[in-house]
Amino acid sequence: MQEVLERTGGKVRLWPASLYGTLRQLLEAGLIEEFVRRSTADDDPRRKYYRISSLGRKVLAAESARLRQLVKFLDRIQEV
Amino acid sequence: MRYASLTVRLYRWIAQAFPETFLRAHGDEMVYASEEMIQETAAREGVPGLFRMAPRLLFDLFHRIVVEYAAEIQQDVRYAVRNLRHQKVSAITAVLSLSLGISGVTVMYSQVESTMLREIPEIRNPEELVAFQGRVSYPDYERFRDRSGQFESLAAYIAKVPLIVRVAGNSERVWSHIVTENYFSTLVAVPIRGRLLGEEDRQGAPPSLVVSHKFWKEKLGGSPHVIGQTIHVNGQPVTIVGVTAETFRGASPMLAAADIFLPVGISPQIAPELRDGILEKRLSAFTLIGRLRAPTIVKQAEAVLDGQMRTIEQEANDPARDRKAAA
Repeated sequence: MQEVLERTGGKVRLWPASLYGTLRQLLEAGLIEEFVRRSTADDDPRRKYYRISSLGRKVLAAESARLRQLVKFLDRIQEV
Repeated sequence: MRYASLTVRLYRWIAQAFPETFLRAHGDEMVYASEEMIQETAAREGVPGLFRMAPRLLFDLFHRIVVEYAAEIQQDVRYAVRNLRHQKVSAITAVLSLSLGISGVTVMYSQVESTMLREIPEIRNPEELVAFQGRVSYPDYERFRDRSGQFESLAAYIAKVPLIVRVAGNSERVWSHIVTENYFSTLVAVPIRGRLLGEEDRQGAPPSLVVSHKFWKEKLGGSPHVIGQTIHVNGQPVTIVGVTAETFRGASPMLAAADIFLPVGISPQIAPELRDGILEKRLSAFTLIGRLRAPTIVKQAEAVLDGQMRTIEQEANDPARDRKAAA
């Protein structure tokens, strides 16, 4: 959550309950998957790891393309 | 810091209000993430920072609790509608029976004709099976089992339990049931390979599991040498001892189809749902399924079970009056 805050320059802050609610939805939709990562000494056993699934990558690519199209369209409207 | 610890405790307390399925899947890690956030804020910004953050943190929690319940209800409604569409007569009977039953006594068993149980494939005489609606603790299950003469056999299971299973280097989430040693014998299910779980899988036995035919075919390539093979469940090695028949997916195939079956005696390291002494405490985590002695009429069983439930409640001084069961 801290990393997201830093990466977005403080613009996006994730809150725990919303984050895990969203993770549940993404898991159910098959867009991410849980995986076992070798634990390090400072790892809390409650911590789980998730990664994007192949379906998730396809959906991400499609959604990115859709948003790029939308931005292009809005730019064209503004130019007129 | 005192305020940080108070905030953590308050967060943990409120978080218990989440639906049980959400808590099982994400409760621990969500609380862990919130603890980290609270402690980091306290260390970086002190008490003023905590006061600024706490309302937003708690609002997020309350808001999400509502969203999660709404999602559960939505899922239940969707499932019910689908069922109604497919089994109109049975479903209407079930709805009418339940409506009448709910308005009656506190603990009772309605004659729903076990529509779901009738759908369990690969088991003998499904009409003799009755499922309890609602969950009970393991100690309560033991009391029922030991006193319920009208059952030829009474089993319990936790469903559905997510596991991270690693096979041939790939990890993925698989749904499972954690079952008592008489689960398969109650259902009178038969394996197509190896054996099903039983007495030999009590606490302390080498960790073993049974996989569904689907899992065997799709994840293990239908290998003829599957029995004795080891797979990693939540990072721990477990031996496959059997494969279920082709269409068998557990005692609740529509609501909680399972691909892996673990014995209730298995280590909590493999099945974290068994942590915190769940077999000793009165935590309602187990679903019951029983096979009636052939001549028993469902109504008679209802009456006996009703009495037993009241006795158990009185003994435990825990009037769980809203717990219902359906046969």
